[in-house]
Amino acid sequence: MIQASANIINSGTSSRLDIDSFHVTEMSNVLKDPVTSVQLDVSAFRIDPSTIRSFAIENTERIYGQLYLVQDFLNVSSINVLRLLGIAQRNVFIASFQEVEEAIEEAFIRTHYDIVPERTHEDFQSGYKVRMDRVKDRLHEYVDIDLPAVEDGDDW
Amino acid sequence: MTYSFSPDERLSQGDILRGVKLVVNVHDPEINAPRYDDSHIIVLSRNCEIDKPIKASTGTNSVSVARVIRLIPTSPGLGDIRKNRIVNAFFLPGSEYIEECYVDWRTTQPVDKSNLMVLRSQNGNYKCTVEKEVLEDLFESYFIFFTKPE
Repeated sequence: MIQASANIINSGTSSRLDIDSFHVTEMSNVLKDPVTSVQLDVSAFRIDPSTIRSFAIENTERIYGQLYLVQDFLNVSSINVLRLLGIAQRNVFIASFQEVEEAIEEAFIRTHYDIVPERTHEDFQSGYKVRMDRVKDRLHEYVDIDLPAVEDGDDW
Repeated sequence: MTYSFSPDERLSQGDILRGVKLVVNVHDPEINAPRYDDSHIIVLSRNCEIDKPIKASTGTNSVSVARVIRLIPTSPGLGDIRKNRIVNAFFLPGSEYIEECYVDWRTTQPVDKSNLMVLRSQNGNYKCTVEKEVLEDLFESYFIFFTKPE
């Protein structure tokens, strides 16, 4: 097993990334995933997907984070920031404006969150039912009295 | 173990703080006027919500909390609270960090995140943090509070 260190800065992502080190596992005989496997000489290694995601967040976040900061500071839209930086042409049409905005937002979201399928009424119903089934036999044991609103003075 | 004590950590889910200005009651039905007072609270929001940049425009400038109320020998429902049989309360045992108390689910409300972060870092305002397994029990209690059949 090879161990390498990675310093991931937590800056308000979808989960707290307190990763001080990560593991790269040798996987010579394991099916190689083109995203998570690395070929070094004759050996292949698998990098933990969460580590890849962490690096993606760190690097992409820097770019989009700066873009958001500039937007905030100048109170302008993303397309104007891109124009300012010389990335977008000055004659970009309004139709493109919306596309750029959406692309930036989409990229920002995808670097911060695991995108999951749409949650349907059935999904919520099954989740709720599982929870209720688990506690239904004990619900009658509760005492549904009205506790008075207590003044405890906060001096404790 | 029910609590941990980590005064140098960031604001986190399960933190118990004192001296937080909260709505402790409402009056005047027409304007729903709040009455504020200092209170102990427990942080309910998930850590990723807490970590989001503080911006009023995105609603990420507040954190959901509930009041933590001290139990005294004359507290109404004392025995039932200790046995966690009261629907709107979750019991927290006494320890070296905090006196015996309970979370009152009826008092859940948003508070200013930046102020909470400052209070967390100040000596005397941070009490302790509820450990993960107890926190899971606590949220199970929260679920029952909102979903218990009539």
